[in-house]
Amino acid sequence: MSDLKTEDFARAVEDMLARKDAREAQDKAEDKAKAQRKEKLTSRVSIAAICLTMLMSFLNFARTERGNAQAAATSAAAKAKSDSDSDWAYYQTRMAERSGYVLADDALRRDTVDLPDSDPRVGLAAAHHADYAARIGAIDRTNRQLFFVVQDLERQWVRLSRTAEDIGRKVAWYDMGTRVLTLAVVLLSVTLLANRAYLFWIGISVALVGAAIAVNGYFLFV
Amino acid sequence: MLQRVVLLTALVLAILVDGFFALINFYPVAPSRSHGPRRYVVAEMDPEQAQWFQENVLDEFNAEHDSNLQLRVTPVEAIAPALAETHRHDNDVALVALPHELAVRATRDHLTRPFDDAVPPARIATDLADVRAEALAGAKLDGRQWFLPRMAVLDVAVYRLARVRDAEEHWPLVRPQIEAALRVVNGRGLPAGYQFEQSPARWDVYDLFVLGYYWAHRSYDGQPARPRLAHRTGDDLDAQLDLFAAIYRMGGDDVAMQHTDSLPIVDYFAWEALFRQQGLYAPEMFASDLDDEGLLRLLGRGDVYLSNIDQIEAFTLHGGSRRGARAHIADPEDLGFAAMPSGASLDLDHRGHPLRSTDGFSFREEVVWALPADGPDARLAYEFVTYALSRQTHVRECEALGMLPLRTDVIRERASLFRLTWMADIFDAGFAQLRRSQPVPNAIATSNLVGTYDALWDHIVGDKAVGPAPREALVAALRSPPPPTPPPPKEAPPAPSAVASADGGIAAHPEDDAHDPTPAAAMDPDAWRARVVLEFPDSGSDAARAK
Repeated sequence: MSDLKTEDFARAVEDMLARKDAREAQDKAEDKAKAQRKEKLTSRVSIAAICLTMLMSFLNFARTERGNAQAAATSAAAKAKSDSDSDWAYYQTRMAERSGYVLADDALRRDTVDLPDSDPRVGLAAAHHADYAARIGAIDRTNRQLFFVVQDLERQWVRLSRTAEDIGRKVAWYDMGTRVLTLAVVLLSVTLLANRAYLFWIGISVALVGAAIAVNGYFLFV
Repeated sequence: MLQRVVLLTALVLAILVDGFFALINFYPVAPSRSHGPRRYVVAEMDPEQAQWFQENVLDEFNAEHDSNLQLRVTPVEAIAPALAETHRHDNDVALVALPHELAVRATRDHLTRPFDDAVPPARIATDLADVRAEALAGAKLDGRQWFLPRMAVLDVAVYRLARVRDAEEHWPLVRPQIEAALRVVNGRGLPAGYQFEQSPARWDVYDLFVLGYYWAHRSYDGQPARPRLAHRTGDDLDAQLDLFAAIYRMGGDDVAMQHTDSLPIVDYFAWEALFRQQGLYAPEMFASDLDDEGLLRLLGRGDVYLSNIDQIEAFTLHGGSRRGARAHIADPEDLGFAAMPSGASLDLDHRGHPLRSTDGFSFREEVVWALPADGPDARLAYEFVTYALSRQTHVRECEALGMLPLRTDVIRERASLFRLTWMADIFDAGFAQLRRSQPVPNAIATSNLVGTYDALWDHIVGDKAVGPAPREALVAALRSPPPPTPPPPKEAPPAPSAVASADGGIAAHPEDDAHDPTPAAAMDPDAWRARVVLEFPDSGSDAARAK
């Protein structure tokens, strides 16, 4: 009877130990699988993060270059406009000068209208009149050219402004692409913290959208 | 497995995109797409205007829209036939500009298609919200946006400022003769209390008569006095429009035109006969047909001091609106512009005022953009029209070519946008005239009235004029008009010419920036010293000196 009890006890202990071993083995296998999944996710996230950061840096270079080009075009446009304004101001100054001569010529006429031709003042006035006429002619010639220069500068201003606007559209797309890519990077970081695979896929999808936006910034399909 | 494939694809994509962005740092500007096939915009312009339009509007549009639109200059009468062959090989006409009445006729012949067929009407309304509603409405046909507005062309009065000032100051010297000339036909002379109107915008036909009479007897620069007024004459459409517009200016309308003895017509011919009889019209009007070019030549040479030309010709005459636009007159600063003078009857009432008076008038030629029925790229053509009507392009085009602005914002700000005084004067005159204008009635182009009135003008005013006639004789002559003179056979229109050369470049033309406008009036010693020499051939040489 006592032998029987001892045997049963020993078997029970063995079973218990076997179960314990099995549980330990299962736990170990589960831990290993978990570790493998995490490692896989980490390596995927790492690769994605490398691609994204590379993309963002290249995009940033391109954006900076276009930003500079836009600034240069804007500045050239502003210079053209400013030159045109100053040329126009000069034009107006010359016109004011011209008006002065016209008024002086009118005054000459009034002053000499009652004088006989033989009066020496008439001769002097005639000389002044010829001088004023020559000056008026010279101002007209200068102003004519000046007006063409103003037109050219204004054309340049319009063209450069449009170029700057066009580049601005690219920069805006690049900026939007960068923002979306940044969101993708954030999602990938959360993927590691939360250890959730679906977040990785969401991050990848967002990154693809960001890349498409950036590519459109270059070609301006939309 | 699927996950693996997706992952690999994403990886490949990422590498490609990374590589692409690494590369574009070396090529930051995207290569331009192909400009596409060559398409034509057909319009009538002079070579200098055409070159400007190609370089400043079409080429800039092409650069922005990756397109290849080229201007093809075609005489207006050849545009409609060209529409019939828009899709022939090497003849891809995407857009044409032609007068509204011709566009309507082409539409009746199924040669055009509406813009609202190519683009939703709501988009047209949004894109062209700043364009004058009247202009857009005028480009509609059967309630549809069949055409889009291009420009309105109407006549303004152009005159020599110095000569008008001289006349203003000294016309009283010839007042007795003027009164006598008028007394013969209206029994009184000038209207009661007549004073020469100092503002050209308010001139009427009496002021014109005073100016014309004074100048016709005033010797300038030691040259014999000569008539200084003129308008277009002959078989040219512009000349016929001049004749009709002058009748409308006397109060005529489509109904009055059907009766050759109606009051406006009698008034018009009474004045014309008087101007002719008094020798106020330039002889070039009668020697042969006087067309636009001839009139510009007379004005440019200083043979004529006052006439009516359209606002685009006013820009051409003045010159200086764009690089290469040379002045056609020695002293462009001496040109003045105003709306057309108003009409008044020669007959006076018992108080001595004109029995009938009317506002100044001009026909308005509405030029529209039309899409050929079989033309390619209707949307591109529409994009081009909206580009041409965009604020900055429109302002530059108006400034360079003398088109009356169509955009309300540009009209509102025209005083500051068009900064040269003479330009502002032409536009002011044009807008004043716009309120007193109407489109050319189709009846003029289609009926035989043109021939009838041409013959009447020849009979009463022209070379075949029978001389001064009392009113009853004039009315009798009007009641039995001579048979219309058959028009001379028309020459075939010259072949259309593309402005751009084969390689898309522009043929160079000599610029005349070095043109030297000389202020002739300022140099004229007679004008300066106010030494007025008058000539009256009938009573021998009658010279007067005024101070």
